[in-house]
Amino acid sequence: MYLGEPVRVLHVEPVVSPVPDGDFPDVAAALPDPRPRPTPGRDAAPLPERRRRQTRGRRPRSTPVAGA
Amino acid sequence: MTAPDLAAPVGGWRVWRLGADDDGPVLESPLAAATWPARAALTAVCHRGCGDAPAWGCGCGLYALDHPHRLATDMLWRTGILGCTALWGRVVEHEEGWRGEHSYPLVLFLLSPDEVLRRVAGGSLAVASARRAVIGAARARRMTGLGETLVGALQRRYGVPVHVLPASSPAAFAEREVGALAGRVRDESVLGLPARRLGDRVATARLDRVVDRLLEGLRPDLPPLPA
Repeated sequence: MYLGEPVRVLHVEPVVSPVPDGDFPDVAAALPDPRPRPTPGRDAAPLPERRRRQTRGRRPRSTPVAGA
Repeated sequence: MTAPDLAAPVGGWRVWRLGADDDGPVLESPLAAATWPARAALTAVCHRGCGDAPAWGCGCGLYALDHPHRLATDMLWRTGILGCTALWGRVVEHEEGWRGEHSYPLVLFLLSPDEVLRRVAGGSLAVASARRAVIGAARARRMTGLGETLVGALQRRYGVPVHVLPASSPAAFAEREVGALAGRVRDESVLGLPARRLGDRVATARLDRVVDRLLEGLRPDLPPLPA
């Protein structure tokens, strides 16, 4: 196969590879399954109980009562 | 570190010969002992010992032409598979084509696939095994047309569009209108590549449209294309 005389040398780096990675033309890129989210129905899983705030040995500050 | 000259692959025309391995039909070079692996790039190697194939003063590398009419008609008839290939890496540009370091087909055209299979039946062992592989695939999928099976098998293996050329087409590439249509197919196969890879159906339809226009232009029984 004759191509003629050489003209120049190119350094070609495609941004997108010409080699298909199994996603062309039929199969789309695989995405992970969505995580199940709790629904606010009767059969919904119970939400985890919130931790109570820890007071490291200190007495809780008393609430000032106005007018005492 | 140097900046690349091009950020998109170079596209050119070339021919392939039908071969086979254990998984089905493969594309082979008609002139050298090289097989294009499915869904992986083929990298050029120089048998004369060039360090960086393709070298400037050597004939090594993976070839592609800027226009299909430069391909010898008898070679196209003998091989039966025409197509656009992407070249990238180190690419030596010539007056009428390119020699590249890496290659992968972008779009393929089979010149009468039934004829390709029939012709290869009495040929080498590799082609005979290709015929067996295609027949096996046809039986597995309960398909009757071997040519259709070959088109589908190549499309699935290489992940690129495969079309069937009209039988009387090789000489028609020299016509000016057909040459312009072939140029549009080559340009679109390269320029639309990123969008097609991202699943853009408009880009896929655009390539299909220019391919249809080329196939219409190669049909001698249809009226001539408008200027």
